[in-house]
Amino acid sequence: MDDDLTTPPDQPLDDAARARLRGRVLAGLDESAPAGPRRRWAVPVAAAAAVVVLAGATGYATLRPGADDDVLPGGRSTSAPNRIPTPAPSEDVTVPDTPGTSEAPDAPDDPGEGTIPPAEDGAAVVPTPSGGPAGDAAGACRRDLRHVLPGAVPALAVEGTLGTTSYLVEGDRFVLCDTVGGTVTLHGAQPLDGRHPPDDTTPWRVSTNAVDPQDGAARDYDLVFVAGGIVTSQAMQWGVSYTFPDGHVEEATTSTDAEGRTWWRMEYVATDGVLVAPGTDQTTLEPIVVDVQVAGTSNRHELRWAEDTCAQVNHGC
Amino acid sequence: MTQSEAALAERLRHGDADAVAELFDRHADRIHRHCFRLTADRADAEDATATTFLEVWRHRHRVQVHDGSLLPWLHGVATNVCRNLTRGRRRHLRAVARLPGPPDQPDHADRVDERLDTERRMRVVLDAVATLPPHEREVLALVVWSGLSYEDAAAALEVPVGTVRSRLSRARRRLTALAPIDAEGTP
Repeated sequence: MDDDLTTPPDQPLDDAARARLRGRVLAGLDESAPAGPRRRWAVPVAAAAAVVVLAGATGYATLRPGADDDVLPGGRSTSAPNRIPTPAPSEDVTVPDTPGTSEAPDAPDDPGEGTIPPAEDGAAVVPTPSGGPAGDAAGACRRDLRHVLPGAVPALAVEGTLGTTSYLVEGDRFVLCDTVGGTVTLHGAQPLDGRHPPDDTTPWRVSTNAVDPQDGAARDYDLVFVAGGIVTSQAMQWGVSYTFPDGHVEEATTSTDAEGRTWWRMEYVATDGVLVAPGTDQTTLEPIVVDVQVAGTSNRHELRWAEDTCAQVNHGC
Repeated sequence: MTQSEAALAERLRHGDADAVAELFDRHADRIHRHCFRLTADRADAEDATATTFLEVWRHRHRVQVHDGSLLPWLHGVATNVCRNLTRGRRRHLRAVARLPGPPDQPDHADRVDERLDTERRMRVVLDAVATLPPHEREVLALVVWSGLSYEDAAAALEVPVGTVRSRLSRARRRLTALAPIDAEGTP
């Protein structure tokens, strides 16, 4: 019967096919290296060294945190990026667990880790240092959300090095809100089902913020890159890594919310190298390379500087 | 005496290649059937089956035993492999469609007709569920077609059991709306 969902009778593997497949598998074991920490690219020192460091334009516009009239990526000026004051460490910070992608898949029924309860009014609430700049940022997150995804409620919050990344959902879309350095950075809303053209870099774009040097050094700023989204593949062999022009490779981490949805997050704080070298024109750098691994298949995306490195929609870069 | 799946998993984790062979002997048929139901193509299903066991080896340090069985995890790996295989195949077919077709080659094998009929029927079934979101199709394939329990399907997909239930419920609801399709879908 062709018009129902009854599958045809099983046709078991015949002996010849089974033997052939078995041979393929066993022959492939030697070539199928065990998966370890993914470091698929050699450090592109040569590429970084080849970059012509030009004085002048840095490709960053002035940061205008919380500017209500600036909901689209802003233009780029030739000034150095404005620095965001970083919040002082606080003992009161609630740090949600951030399970990695490689281990601990043993408790699929316990998705509560790293989740945050919605506030009574359903507004976005993220764990923040109490009374610190990030606390102010949480309020700004609510305010700016109305321009990006009105009514979105938090699904998950993940603590990062310099702030908290929260994922907020409304209907079939979500938005990423990051509080790096105490300033709210909202990425554009994306579909919850993760559908996008194969070559579209939108899901992998990074927001870029400049913050005070974390080690008190004399350089002008550190750069913080954040990206994140929803994992729709349900794949156990899922991973995303970012390779930056300074050779750094950052692997995304994943966390699961209360509804069983898995979210990924990537954060890289560049404190030295070509990315923060005085006078560097980011637009002349090698692209950031994103490698998306799903069940052994690799998809590579290149993020162009400026176009793909300014994912924030509520303030400039 | 047959070794327990937990012991087999332990051998896998320790890099015992013979454990892959044993795992293949135990479960290749089921994994192949699952892959066929996801691809409606026996050649693709064979590729996916081989790839699944290679993936198992590659990710052996992450092997999981659920309720004393490796099958849920194997089904999860196979589901992911087939998803990517299907995606890659679509791209391949688009490319091939632009090329001149190969000349007809007669094939007198007795089983060809049966095989083609099986693939055609499976394709019809897959087309019928094509309107479902991928994650609902996968739950349907695991629970309804491959007979995994909700708990095993949840382990395979690494989602809560409740998510499996709700996805299957939604899938059946959607399919019910597509009369005259039988939403039970029992094999």
